[in-house]
Amino acid sequence: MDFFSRGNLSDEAIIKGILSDGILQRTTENRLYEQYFYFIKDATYKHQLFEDEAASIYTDTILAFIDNVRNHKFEGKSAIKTYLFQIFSNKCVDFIRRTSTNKMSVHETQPMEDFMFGMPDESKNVLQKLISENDFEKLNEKIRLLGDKCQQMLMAWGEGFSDNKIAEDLGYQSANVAKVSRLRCLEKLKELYRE
Amino acid sequence: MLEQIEKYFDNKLSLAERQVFENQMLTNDAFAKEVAFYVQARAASKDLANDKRRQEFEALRTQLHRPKSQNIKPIIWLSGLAASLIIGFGLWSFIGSNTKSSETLADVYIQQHFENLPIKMDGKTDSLQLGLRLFNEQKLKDAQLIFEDIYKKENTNSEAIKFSGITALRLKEYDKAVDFFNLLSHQKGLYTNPGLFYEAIALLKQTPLFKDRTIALLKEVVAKDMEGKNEAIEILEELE
Repeated sequence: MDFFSRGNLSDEAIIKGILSDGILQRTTENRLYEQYFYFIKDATYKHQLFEDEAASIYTDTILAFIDNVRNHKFEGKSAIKTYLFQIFSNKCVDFIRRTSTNKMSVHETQPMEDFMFGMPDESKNVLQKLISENDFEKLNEKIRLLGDKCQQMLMAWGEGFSDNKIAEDLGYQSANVAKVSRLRCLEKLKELYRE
Repeated sequence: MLEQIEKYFDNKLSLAERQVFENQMLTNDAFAKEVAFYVQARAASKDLANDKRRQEFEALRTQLHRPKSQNIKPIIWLSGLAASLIIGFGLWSFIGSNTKSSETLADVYIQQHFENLPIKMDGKTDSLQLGLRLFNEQKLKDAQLIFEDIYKKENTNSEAIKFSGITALRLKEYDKAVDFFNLLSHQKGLYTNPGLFYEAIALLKQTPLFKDRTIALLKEVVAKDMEGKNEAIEILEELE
């Protein structure tokens, strides 16, 4: 199988691997990270970034790509290398712009816009206003206070895995049991957040 | 209430129910706050997952900076060159005979070390011990399920990673064994880490043989005085 050869993975193998699960998914993501690792070095010359800065941007690039593949936003119109390089370059330029104007973002959050897709503008405005009033940093702290099992479950949910898959991976009897447990974890998080 | 909110975002409400939901958002402040919490909790969950993956990638970056990794490109280049050269029959048969002997050494190692695995005799039965018991009863497929299940739940559990690799090796799933041992070699904080040596053993069983990579791994084991050093020297003598 193409995947296990020690050379570069083909675009097809990368997509298949990311969309699979378990060890194949994780190993594919790691191999992808290794495959274009040289972007980091390039950015230290081209954009005059420190290596740690370039590495952090590279990691964000890989995570964004994985996300796009899982959400079927990557349409395969260009090669993965070209696509990644485009994201990476944009992020580098964005980083330089932010640092040179001292406009460092406090925290890069996953765009919540994605979750609100399809909502009428009026409702969306209400939601956006409430979200801006909430303390997202606090929520990010509190989620780390939950037990391991809850954290694992919420992480899988955040990544878009179904309750079926969560039940299978975390050893719950059924998708329904996983769902009930997950909602309980969310209730616990809410209590912690509103303390 | 969270369940109803989830149904909305998962598009599981009817059109009429959606309209009621959206009206409530505009008229019921407490309800709207619940929805806002749900959306942010989902984003926070995603952030948490990303942070964890970031840490893993950072660990991988550290690994890639190791001397072995700096040689990756020349190794790939040399492998390509070697691939062209071995088209010649004489050279092919020479390498073939070396491979045979080194593979035999790998077989001996597997037979001596991976026929039975040590079980704790304290009478306790956790999943890992159960897996080991099944392994020793030669129920390898069942043992594999258990070890991989532990790994899925705790992906830094080095024992689960090691035993998953060994079981894959015994089941002749060499590609999988290589990947597990590679993961093992990246585990931090172990008193001894046989990951690199085991990865080399699994690579020796793969067809075609990735000779350069196997030699590089074995040389690293010897240079760093790691577990399997003596056996590595012996295999290197056969390979080089």
